[in-house]
Amino acid sequence: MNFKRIQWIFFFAFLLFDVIIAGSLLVENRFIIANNIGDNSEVIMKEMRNDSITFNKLSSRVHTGFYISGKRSASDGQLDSATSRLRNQDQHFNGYTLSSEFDRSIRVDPQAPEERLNQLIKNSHQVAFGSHYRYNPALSKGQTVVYSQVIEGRPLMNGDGQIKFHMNNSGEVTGYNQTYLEDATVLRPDTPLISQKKAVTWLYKHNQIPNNSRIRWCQLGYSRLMTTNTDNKNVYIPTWTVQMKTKNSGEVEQIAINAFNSTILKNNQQTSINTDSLNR
Amino acid sequence: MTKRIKIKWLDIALATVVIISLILSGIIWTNPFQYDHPRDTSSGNQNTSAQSIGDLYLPTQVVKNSSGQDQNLLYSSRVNLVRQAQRQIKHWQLGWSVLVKNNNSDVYLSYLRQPDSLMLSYSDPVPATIFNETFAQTIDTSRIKQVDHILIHLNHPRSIYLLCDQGYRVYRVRIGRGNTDKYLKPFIGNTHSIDKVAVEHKIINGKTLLLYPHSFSLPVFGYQVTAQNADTLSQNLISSNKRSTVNTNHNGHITTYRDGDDKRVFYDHWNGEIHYRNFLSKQDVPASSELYSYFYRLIARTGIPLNNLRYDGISQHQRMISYRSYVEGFPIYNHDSYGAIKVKAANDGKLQLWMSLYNIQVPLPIDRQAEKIPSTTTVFNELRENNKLKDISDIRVGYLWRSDSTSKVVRLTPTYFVKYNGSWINYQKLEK
Repeated sequence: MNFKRIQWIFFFAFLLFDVIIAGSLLVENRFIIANNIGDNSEVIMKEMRNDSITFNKLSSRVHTGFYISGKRSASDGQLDSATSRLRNQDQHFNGYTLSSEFDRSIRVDPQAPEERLNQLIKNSHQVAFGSHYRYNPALSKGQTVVYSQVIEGRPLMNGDGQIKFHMNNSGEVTGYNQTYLEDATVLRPDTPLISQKKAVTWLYKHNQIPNNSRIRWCQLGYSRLMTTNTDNKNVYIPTWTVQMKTKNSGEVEQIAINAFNSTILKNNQQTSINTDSLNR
Repeated sequence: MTKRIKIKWLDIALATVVIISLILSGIIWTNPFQYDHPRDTSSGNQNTSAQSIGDLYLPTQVVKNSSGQDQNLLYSSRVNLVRQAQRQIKHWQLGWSVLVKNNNSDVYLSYLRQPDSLMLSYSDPVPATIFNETFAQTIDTSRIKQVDHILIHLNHPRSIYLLCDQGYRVYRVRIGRGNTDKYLKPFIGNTHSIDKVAVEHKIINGKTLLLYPHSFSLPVFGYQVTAQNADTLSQNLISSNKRSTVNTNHNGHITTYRDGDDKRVFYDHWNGEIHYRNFLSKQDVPASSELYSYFYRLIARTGIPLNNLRYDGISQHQRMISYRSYVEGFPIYNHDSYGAIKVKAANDGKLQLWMSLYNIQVPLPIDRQAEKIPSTTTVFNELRENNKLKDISDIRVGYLWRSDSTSKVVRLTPTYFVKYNGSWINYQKLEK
């Protein structure tokens, strides 16, 4: 009898222990979840959807990127010199841009112009340094097919290394404008970047995405941060470039955000820095 | 019959609650890690860059010991060597650890020079908890207290070694699951984007030193100097929430920001120094083991970019930690502490932080030849002639940042820095 009573006592004691510990664990876990919700980008994305902002799935993968220096190829630069190999086209070099008209226009599929152009740019008699460029559907628009120069595996998002093919109404490419960034050099070892998801939610949190709009694309590439006077070299950084379209007015806006430190890169305010004292 | 079942039911029920209690106890034993987590994420949010606490406390130096007796310091302007090694260690699951040897400096030195291996070194020891945080591991912190060096064999390693200068302790830690060593590839053979300098580990007067037996060259770097906004930085430091009001008071070249009686920030316009001061109540004073994460959270709160910032050392009875900007694994020194941060939490509750508004972020193209640096032997001989050698306790190669308030750019030049009477100075200053 006594033994049974001891069993009962033990049973209740352990039951009480279990209930208290399980309870505290559950409460603690719920607290953790609640705590996470406040900071989580999932919640911000939900808020964005509530504001009628539409977007495709955003990646939270963390890439790495470099600070890169490079120089826009000018007259007598590498691009200008390479034009001597071009055939069957009429080209001239002005400032930093090579403009060329093909003797005979090239027929392409207007829905998928890259199928033919990918072959064309591989031929160094047709396009100089063509293998350094990659089709960029995000920047292509209407009758302009854009190829971006690829630096350290990512497209150069501004006009410093770009080929723009012109297409006429009958789906023929008649010529192109080309710029080229020469001597692209890594300035510092790779550093982790903010993810695509973080870039977009950061823009939203800082009121850069209007309500009732659609994010058309968000691409990681290199953009010019500043110009220097060390041999006219510029500094380029990895950026998330976001293009959005307001649903009502149809207005399209593009913002580049520094992927190292989440600051907005102002395109209209060109930063230039005097590096004379470094080289003295 | 029913009685027997009743008795049995009681047995079964008792057994069940006992088992459940065991399981719950198990969960509690393994759970403290999860409890700590949310605190970290909430504090990390202030920081808009991609840096975490583990990045602030990364090792800074990478030395490769070849299969012969050669030792080479590796650096690269392209491959982030420490991160590459970090990726590898994170990939491994480290298991049980064992003390291989202690109190024997000869054996310790032989581990430092172990052939065919890679050595990651901290500029000052870190607690094993920080090692675990940086490399996503759970090594036994009751056995291993501190880590100075991490030794990785390059030839299909089965274990890594953690070395602690104090007491010349060598621990072996087993590599468990996930035994691939693909991330070590850049370190094997000669990778063209990785440069090297001949070095030699030595133990002099009981201190482990990395010496440079031959003269060598290092590149010169150009950087843009960035000044933080003093108002924003001070606000970030002292305001505990958005509603608190900060009073500002100008007095000569010092601006004082105040929130309540305890929290103050003094900003010196002349040299750009920020001095934060706060008094913590007794229960809020961080324990020695918590300082590393406590200080990280404080620094992250300032909102300054942490890319180049690394843990540089702990001093003053283990209550003050200094952080310094690094360039490609080399520390940067400036007379006005540009790019450096010091945080101190005294036992009486006085919390202080010193930092500069100025730091460097953006590297610039530069048109300069690499700079030639003499061997350590030459430097020691010169210092001996000047009768200064006896006061020197440590030596390092680093980059000098000369203060110039008129310029927005800075040229970083490599040279030796020696620890002279407790503080780091350019060795050329002692020659005069």
